[in-house]
Amino acid sequence: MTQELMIFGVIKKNKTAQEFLYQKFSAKMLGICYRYAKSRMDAEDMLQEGFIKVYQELHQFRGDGSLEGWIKRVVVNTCINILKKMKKFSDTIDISNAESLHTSYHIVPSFVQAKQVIECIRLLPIGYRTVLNLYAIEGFSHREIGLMLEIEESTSRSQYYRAKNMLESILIQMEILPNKNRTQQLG
Amino acid sequence: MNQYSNHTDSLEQFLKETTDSFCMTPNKRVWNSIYNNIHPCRMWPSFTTNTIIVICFLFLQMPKTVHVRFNHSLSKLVNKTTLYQESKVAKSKIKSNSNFLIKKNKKENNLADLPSIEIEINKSNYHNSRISESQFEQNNLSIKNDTSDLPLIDKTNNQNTFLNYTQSYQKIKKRNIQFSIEENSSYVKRKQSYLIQLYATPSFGFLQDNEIEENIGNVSSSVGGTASGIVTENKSVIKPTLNLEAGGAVMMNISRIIRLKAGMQLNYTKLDEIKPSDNSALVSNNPTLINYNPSNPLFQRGNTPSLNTDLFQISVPIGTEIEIMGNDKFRWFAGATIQPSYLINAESTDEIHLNNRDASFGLRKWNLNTSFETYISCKMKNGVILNLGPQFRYQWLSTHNKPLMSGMDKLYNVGLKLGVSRVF
Repeated sequence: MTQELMIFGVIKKNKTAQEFLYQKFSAKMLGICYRYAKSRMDAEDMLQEGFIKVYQELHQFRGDGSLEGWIKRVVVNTCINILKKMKKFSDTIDISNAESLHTSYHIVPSFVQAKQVIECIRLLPIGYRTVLNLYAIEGFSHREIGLMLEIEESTSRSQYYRAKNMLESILIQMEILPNKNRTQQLG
Repeated sequence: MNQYSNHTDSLEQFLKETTDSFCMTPNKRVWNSIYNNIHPCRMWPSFTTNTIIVICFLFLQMPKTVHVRFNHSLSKLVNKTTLYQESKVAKSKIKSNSNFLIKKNKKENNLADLPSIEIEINKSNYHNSRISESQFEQNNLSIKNDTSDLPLIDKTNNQNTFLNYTQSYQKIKKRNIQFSIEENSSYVKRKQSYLIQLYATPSFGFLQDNEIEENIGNVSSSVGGTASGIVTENKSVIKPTLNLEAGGAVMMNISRIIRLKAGMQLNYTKLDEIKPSDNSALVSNNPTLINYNPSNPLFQRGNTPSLNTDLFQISVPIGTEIEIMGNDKFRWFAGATIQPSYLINAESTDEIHLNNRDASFGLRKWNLNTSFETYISCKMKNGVILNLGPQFRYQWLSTHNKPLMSGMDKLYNVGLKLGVSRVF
């Protein structure tokens, strides 16, 4: 089934086309949701909401970009909206707790590096994690992130900076990244 | 990692490359949930199936037990200790018989320190023990057994109640202690009774909203061009006339005042023909439903498209009724039911052919209705119960698949319900 045929079928509420679209993109989208969610079950709920929105709004897809990118944007927005509803963002909470948080790196699995990195990202506080996901991975600007999360642009920058430092230290502890100091000494 | 050297610049690149390849297979339930959400019509078969299962469950025979507790009357108490011992003996005697199972031994709150015995009687052993079932109907327990070892508990309203015991209980008999069988509503269950009700409800049906205004700007025409500035006055309505509902139901008491109800009924609805007013034409509020063509005679003034006007619907009402107040003869009830329904004559739909394109105003086969009623029941001498009262019935979904007028196609009926019921 070609992409155009699939899109046309989904708009016409063809069940085969809808299922085909789901089978094609659900695995990757769940991986994206997993980065934002607290647990796998929450991630699947986000995925469900995201795909329902995709089916409802696919007629708005103009074809000027990739379909995967469009679906990804819809899913990410859905994740953000769900997190906002759950009131997971509180600047004061995140910032006040940030420095005292210790990563429990022993729970990170030791197989499949991508999964390792994802789990390290999920160790971050929810506010840091979301900003990191949106800026470093999804490619949003701090201004856009501020609008989405209803925070100041400067807050987004500071949270991202702290998130990056925290993630870096986690990755080094997990030996996913080489120790910068040791590398410099050897070098 | 492997090629990682510059933490500051490459971290983001590293994260992006790593997470891009990350996938997780979702659970099957996720797709099922999405599918049910985008295709809600699938709920109807499961709803109907569940409804049928509930109806079947309501008609299952449940084992009946009657809990009886009897306490010793304070006024006749002579020797508490002796009485307690004797009641223990009675308890053991009763226990030896398979027809009587000691439930528990509880003390009555208002008769402190007095022994009491609670007996659970297995009514399935009625015939074996020759216990007369009809004697339970007056809510007084009377157990008779031809075995002399079993106690005979007589009706308790008599002052000189006597009990036939074996020699072990002769002392009790001589002391003429009154045993009272208390009908505690929390322990004695009213014998479950069923009522069959046959009813007919003549009613008047109406549209949800008789007045609809439509102002269509540009409407595309199948022959090219557009028709613009068409204004419809809201005089085109579908007015139902006299309706009739007839059916039967079975009601089961689940408590003193509440009973469950399930049945089947036939609903007849007659619709008036569409009568466009002089200044209006029959159009849909959604131009995509119909290709408007001014040359089509259907859209000319004075034409009356004919539609199916006689609707026969089978409904399965399921609900509850609550007794508000009453006495032995007159009782006042209020009830509500949910009625999934199926239109029998949905096949014979009329189609309006517009410019070689069918714009089928097909009738919706499955629908859901709700009814609310209140009535007074009068019990006659021969046991027949007459019921009379108003009923309001509302249809949730539109009658037609493609509503003719802005979706205002939901019927509601107001009528008077006449019923006859009987206990069995």
